[in-house]
Amino acid sequence: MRGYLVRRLLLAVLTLFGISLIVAGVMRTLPGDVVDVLAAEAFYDDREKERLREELGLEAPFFEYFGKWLADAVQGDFGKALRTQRSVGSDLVNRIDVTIELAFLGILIATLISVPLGIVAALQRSRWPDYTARSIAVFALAIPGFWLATLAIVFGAKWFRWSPPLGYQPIWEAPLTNLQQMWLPALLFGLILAGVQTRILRTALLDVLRQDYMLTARAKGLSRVMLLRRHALRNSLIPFITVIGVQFPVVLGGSVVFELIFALPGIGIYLLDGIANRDYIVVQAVNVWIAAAVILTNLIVDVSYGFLDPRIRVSS
Amino acid sequence: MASSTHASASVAESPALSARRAGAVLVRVVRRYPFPCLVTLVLVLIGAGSGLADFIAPYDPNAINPTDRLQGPNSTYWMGTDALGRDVFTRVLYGGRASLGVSVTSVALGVVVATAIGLVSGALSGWFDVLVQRIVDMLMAFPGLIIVISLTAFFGTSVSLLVVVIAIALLGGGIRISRAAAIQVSSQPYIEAARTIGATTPRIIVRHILPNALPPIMVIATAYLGVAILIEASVSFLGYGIQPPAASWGFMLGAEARIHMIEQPWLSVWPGLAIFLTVFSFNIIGDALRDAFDPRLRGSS
Repeated sequence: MRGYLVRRLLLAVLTLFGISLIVAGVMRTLPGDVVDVLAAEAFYDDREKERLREELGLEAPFFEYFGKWLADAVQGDFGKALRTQRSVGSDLVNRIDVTIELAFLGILIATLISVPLGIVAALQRSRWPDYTARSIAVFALAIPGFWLATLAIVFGAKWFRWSPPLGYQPIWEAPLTNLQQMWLPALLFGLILAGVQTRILRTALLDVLRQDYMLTARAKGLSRVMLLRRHALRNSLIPFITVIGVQFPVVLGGSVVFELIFALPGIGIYLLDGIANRDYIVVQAVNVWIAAAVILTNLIVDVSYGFLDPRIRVSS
Repeated sequence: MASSTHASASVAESPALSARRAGAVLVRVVRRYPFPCLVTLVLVLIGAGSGLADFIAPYDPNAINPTDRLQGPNSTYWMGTDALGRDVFTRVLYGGRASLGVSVTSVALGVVVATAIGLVSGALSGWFDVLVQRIVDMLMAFPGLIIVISLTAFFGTSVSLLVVVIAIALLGGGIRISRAAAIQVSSQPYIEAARTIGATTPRIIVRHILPNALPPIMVIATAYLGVAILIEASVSFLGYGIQPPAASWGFMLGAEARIHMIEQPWLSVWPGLAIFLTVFSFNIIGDALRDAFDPRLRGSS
């Protein structure tokens, strides 16, 4: 287990290093004279252009620039945003709670929907509850998140004279106001995410139900409830947790759209603002942060396998 | 005598017979898989409507008609009109052409490249495989939408760039699936047999592994068509995809259109419905294909 952990951790660090290298490399190979393009689009004057050249490290050789960026980044310094002159690192820290809350609530709601649906579908396989659950899942899978959110806003305003509250409040300052703002985006997000989760949980459960140990457990006279709780659900947890890990990038991508529509000032909006301002430093930092979050999630998922399944613990 | 009559009869009948046989097969397929067939029909209609938009669309997609702006569905404008008085039905058709064009091309590009890399990586193993796996890890760490908006925003918003960038977003998963398929096929006895009689590695990959690894790749390609439509729509929705005045489903739901949606809610319905129906159909066909290729999985998800 220890060796496994160390190996996974090293791999994660290596991947993150590669990602930083690629992101920095892509930023460097931007076509044309970046600074001129930026200056023309953002109306920079000559002094700002000079500063920009220096900040982007365009004068220095690539590896010197990358080394400096990496050394600063490891210490939490991601440079200053070109437009606002604020520290990108502290901007990200100030905004990450919004995105994490939205992602967490979305996955929570998706789990609350998908667990009962998945169980019913697997136990009633090829009967109407199964078909109903699968239809719901396939529908959820095909609905674009931004469409569902747009419909909610348009018809909420039309039918209930409701519009999303403006002026975001962090959850620890005004929990009630915060939840008033968060419940609808989280619910819609959860509905969308529930599609994949239901399908995976159902498949995983069916797989477990077919196993010999289920037959043995039934033969020794376990009740249906015990059978489900002690054997089936616990063994379905691994694929389910895998799926939450796999879903995580999808969640972060979807978060951009929900933050925009519901005016939630998270990382997604920060990225969109960075893109609109052609702010390379912001876009680079957000991409590396998001990749790091995904890698960290996958690491946690991999490690939790070891806790859930003794076979994995022993074999590694 | 009898046999020659029979032979000549069968020769004479053969076109009609084969047509009838094809018809019988079709009936059997439709009976056995009614829903996937219905969904295929929906997709064919969406594809034909989009592909033939030039001939079918009742209006010019960019014809502005301020007196008829923001109408609901009616007999003149089947899906109503937008804020500039453009016909929404016409724009949904042209939007479909853009969306389907971009997604089909990017999936074709992404899946072909991913298959080539994945098969070689799975078949060769060794340092190349390790390298590919590390690159896949990196690709998979970026959410598709985020790669696409970050790159299009800086490299420009051309359609060909959009295609390449969406293909890149699909690459990681595609490589992973085709590599797994290649590894599975490589352990089969017939691959060992081919190796024993002296077939070269490139020949084994192209002639033996590729055809046998194709089913899972086809399934993932179909599923990716839905994913690509969703990515393209989201990117266009954010304003970094297909650029106005060209119609696209995503942009029709975007910030500019949203201002008018309270006044004319139908504007929010049609493009989204088009995206939903298309993605839904691709997903159902993907599921049906998977069941057909691998009967053990039938009804498993």
